[in-house]
Amino acid sequence: MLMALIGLGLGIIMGLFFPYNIPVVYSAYLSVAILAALDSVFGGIRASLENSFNSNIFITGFFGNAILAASLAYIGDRLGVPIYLAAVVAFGTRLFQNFAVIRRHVFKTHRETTK
Amino acid sequence: MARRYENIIIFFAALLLGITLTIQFRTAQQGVGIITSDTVPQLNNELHNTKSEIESLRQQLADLRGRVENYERAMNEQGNVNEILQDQLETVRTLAGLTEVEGPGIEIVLNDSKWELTHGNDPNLLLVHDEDILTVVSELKAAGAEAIAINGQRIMFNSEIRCGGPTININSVRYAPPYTIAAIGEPNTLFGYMSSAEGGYLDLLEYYGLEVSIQQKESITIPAYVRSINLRHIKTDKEGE
Repeated sequence: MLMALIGLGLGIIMGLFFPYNIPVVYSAYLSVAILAALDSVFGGIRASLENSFNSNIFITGFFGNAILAASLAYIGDRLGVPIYLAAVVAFGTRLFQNFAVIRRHVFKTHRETTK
Repeated sequence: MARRYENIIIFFAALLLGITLTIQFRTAQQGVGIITSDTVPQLNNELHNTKSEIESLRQQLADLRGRVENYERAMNEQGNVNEILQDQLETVRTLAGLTEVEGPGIEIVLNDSKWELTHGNDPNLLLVHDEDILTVVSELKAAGAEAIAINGQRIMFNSEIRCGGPTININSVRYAPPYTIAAIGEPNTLFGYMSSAEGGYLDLLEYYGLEVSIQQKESITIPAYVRSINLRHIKTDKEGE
């Protein structure tokens, strides 16, 4: 999990120097994709802590969920129905669930190492 | 070993996420909100209205500039602005209704109904009332009439059209039916507006048997307003010399 945080921090710093900008029209779709990717990362951290990490699942999940979420947002925009809400609710819920599991693991190992 | 492999993958994923997150933040900071498809027509409307406002303000600005140029030119050529002020005075008098005007338009004649009064019917339904004339005048204005006269009385800002028993008082003069309402404007537009299909006010009057006739005219003369106007309560601002 530490690697994830380091990666995130490094990514943020690199992003500050990135010279290109995404066209503003797409920013709404990108937001949902970011949420999906965030949930994927959390899921990966949780799987790593539970020793059930499968790199195939993680990588396909990371990009697949992001693309799927962005596509849903785009379709919803075309249809006039806010379908992106489905992605937001779903990924948001999973995010918090994964976060809860991670927290339990962290405290469990912490208790074990300090016993 | 598997642990390290996992961690590296997660590391790169988080890296990518961080980069994308920051780019998104920077883009969002440009101040553009997320617009959903349903707000687009509303925003389009607002944009259109604002653009028209800008256009009309530009027009106003151009007019005012033109006026200033005219004043300057008159000062240069004649040493005074008398001629220009004279023209302006004439225009204002015409707008105010103090001059006789002529132009194309329509003529509406309203008369009481000649139907027999049947038992139980309200006799009021067969008469032309002041409200009828008021409504007709209002509709004419809505249709773009530039000058209106009723039985030769010029309708001004202070013209009353008031019931006086069997007669109607207009500009303090009593009139009995038939009432001839003359209006200067675009004849086709006025005619179409006043005689518009079902639901038009004149149609309603006809339904009750009142005599209504509308005629397009190529030339209508509308007399000037001849009574005197005393302004006792309006205070005119005198700008400092």
